[in-house]
Amino acid sequence: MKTMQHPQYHILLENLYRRFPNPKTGLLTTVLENVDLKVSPGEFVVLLGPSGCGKSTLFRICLGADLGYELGVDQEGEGKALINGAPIQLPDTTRGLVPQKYPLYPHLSVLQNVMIGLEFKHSMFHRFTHHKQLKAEAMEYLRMVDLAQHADKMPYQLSGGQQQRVAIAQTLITSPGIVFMDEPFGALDASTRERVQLFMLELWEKQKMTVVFVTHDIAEAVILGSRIVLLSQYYTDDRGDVDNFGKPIQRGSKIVRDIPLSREVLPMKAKGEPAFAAMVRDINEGAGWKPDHRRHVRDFDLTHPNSFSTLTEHEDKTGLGNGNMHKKRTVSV
Amino acid sequence: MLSLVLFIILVAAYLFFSSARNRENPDEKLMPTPTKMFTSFKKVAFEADVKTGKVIFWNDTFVSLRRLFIGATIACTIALMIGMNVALFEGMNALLLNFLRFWNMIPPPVLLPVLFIVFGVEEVSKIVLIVISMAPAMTLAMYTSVSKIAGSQIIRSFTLGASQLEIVYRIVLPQALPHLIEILRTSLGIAWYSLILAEALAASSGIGYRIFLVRRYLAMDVIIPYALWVVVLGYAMNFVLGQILARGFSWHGKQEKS
Repeated sequence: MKTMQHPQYHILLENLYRRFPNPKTGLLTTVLENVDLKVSPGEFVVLLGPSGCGKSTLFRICLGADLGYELGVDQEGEGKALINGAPIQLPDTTRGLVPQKYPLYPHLSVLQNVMIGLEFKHSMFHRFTHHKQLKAEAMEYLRMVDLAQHADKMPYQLSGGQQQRVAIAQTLITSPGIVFMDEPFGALDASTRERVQLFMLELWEKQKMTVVFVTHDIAEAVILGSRIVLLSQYYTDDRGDVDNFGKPIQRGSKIVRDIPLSREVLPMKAKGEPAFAAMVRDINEGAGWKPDHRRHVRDFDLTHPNSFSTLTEHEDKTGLGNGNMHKKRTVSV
Repeated sequence: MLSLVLFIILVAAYLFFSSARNRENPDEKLMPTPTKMFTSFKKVAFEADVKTGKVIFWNDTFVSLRRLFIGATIACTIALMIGMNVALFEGMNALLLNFLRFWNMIPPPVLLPVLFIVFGVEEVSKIVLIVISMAPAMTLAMYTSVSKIAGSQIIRSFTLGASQLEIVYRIVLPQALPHLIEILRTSLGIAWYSLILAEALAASSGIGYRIFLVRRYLAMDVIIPYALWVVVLGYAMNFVLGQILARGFSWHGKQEKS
């Protein structure tokens, strides 16, 4: 008898491809190529990448907003795309989302915004009879993000940073297994961003929820993440630079680096530390961040314990695979 | 204050020319003096008509406004229901969008004879004309507005556990309503236009009817006050809608505190 597999990983992607038909030529452009990713509960994964690398695409696929992905294009259809052990469903409460802009419902007060997740969960009757409890629970979450005094204000009366904090409370109240954050602090000014980053970090230290955080800001990635996943289209492999017809090979993005970050010192203080700057520099000048810094698939820096890489025989003619997987990192913040 | 200067110049010019013409010719019809206008206005506004027993001016106003109100309500309902559905549901979009655009191209006067034939010359045809003149543009505008609301929020709403029905009625609809009011404000002009047109052609009461009736007697002393009254009504409606927006939907159109 087959017992139900206990979902070990929140996210499990293997041999994931995403291709789009080019509207002009009709040919397929590969945005994500043979992507492999495993995310365990409690990780703060920062999905980093140069612009245009397909972070949003990967993000949307995990969220269930994009069901046009393919599995195992070069592996005879074998591959996996699982959330909590099951194939990816349409967006639901298993995955929370904090977007970059306009996170809140403008016609509801701050408190009502936070409560809405609870209201969606319960029937009208339950909402009516348990109104006080629901309100109290929402206030708890508002207190968690330090905005309880603004409960009856409307979103437009709050600053961008405050709105994002309310959005975080609004997302957490439904207890999603994974919280997806799409450059949530990108629209904020520098000082607000610092404060919200610190707040986010403290929140995560307390709640230890699984977070997938998309950003293109390396410093932000180093501050927040427990794991940096660098997605990039800048790499090389055994297929060379031109295909059989002499045309340059268009490469879809892969996870070029997958590194853990240990953190002994509180990051804000660590910002001044040389180790922090060294890490930022390491990523900035390392493989995959810029077009002229490309590494071979076998040399990808995959040192996180959850990192893995399955390479097709075209990508890796030698069959040796990635030699860096799970090696210990030397630079830590 | 500066904007008043043009008004003052125009009014002064009118007063000058009308008094000159009236001195020359006491039966002057084209440019009546304010006194003459006021006398005529008093007659229609405060004396009961011999035949019907109603005070003409207020009856005209009431009848016209009622037609306008009913027509606008129906047009709003159509714009809201169809606009939202076409924006939110792919199937409705495929079905209706091109038809809406086609409908929007038809000038209302073209349809008027058809309406008179089908609905007769009673209230129905006039109200239908108002609806037809307002609804297509309003519906298309609502479609655009709702598309903008829905796009970013729908996925997030699903992650918060909302059902499709809840998204439509608790998330999208409240945000669509202030848009509807703004769209209504901009459509009032075409509404008046269709109302006056329909009343001019086939009615027995109403502002448009009255204006075109007394045209035959060159009674500018009635026409001008009526025309000014339409402007006043227009301002009043605009103001009322603005107040509804400001008080009931204070959050509309604002993003964040700086």
